Amino acid sequence: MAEQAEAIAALTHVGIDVSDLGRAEEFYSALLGVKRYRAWDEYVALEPLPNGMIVFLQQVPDKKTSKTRVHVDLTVSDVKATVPKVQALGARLLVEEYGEPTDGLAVFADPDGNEFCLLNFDLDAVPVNC
Amino acid sequence: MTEQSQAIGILTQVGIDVSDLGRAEAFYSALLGVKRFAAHDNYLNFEPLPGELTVYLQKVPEEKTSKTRVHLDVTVKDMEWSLARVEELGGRRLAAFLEDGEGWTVVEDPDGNELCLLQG
Repeated sequence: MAEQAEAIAALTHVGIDVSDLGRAEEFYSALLGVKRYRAWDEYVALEPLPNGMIVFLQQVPDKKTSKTRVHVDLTVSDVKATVPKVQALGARLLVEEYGEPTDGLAVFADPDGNEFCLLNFDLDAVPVNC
Repeated sequence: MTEQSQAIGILTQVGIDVSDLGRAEAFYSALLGVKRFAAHDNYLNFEPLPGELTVYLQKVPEEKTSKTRVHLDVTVKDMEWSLARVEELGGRRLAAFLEDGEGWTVVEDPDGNELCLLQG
């Protein structure tokens, strides 16, 4: 493989469409452990995460009609113990799996139905095939 | 406001649904400047980005039918150069919200997933 070229861009933000900014702020703030950083017009940006990423919410008039094709994964040390905490925030549990290659995976829908995963996953355990 | 509680989870990965893993790998590898780290079944993981966030692609059978409701924003230094590169890689520019050298451009990847280029 040729030497990697310079990145065209740096991944800095993830934007999530929501129908109720207040409800979504409460949900993602508790989920990610970050407070509101800025709010303007139909946007709320949460404080940068420890890795520098900024999650922001945008209120949209349209409803979700199909699966979220870009989704975020959250790493936790104990999926089974964390599932009820996420449900208590208003997320709906869609799938729960325990076994290989993940040591626990739970798929949720946030209060707007946007899917995200909770996992205890070691990327280094995945067979490299390049 | 009460003291912020501990995070329930750490945002570590972003997964993107695609129809053609090879085409999407070429696009995102060049966009983000990362190589393939691992591939298994219908998945392809890139090397972690600075900050340890990992982007991965998953091949899915279904087509995209509506707007991507969770989207990525990537920050660029030179908007025109970056847009030209995105187009060379099979992406498409959709809308520009730029004024006085600030703002963003909405583009889509080869699968039609929307993302924004932010002027850094």
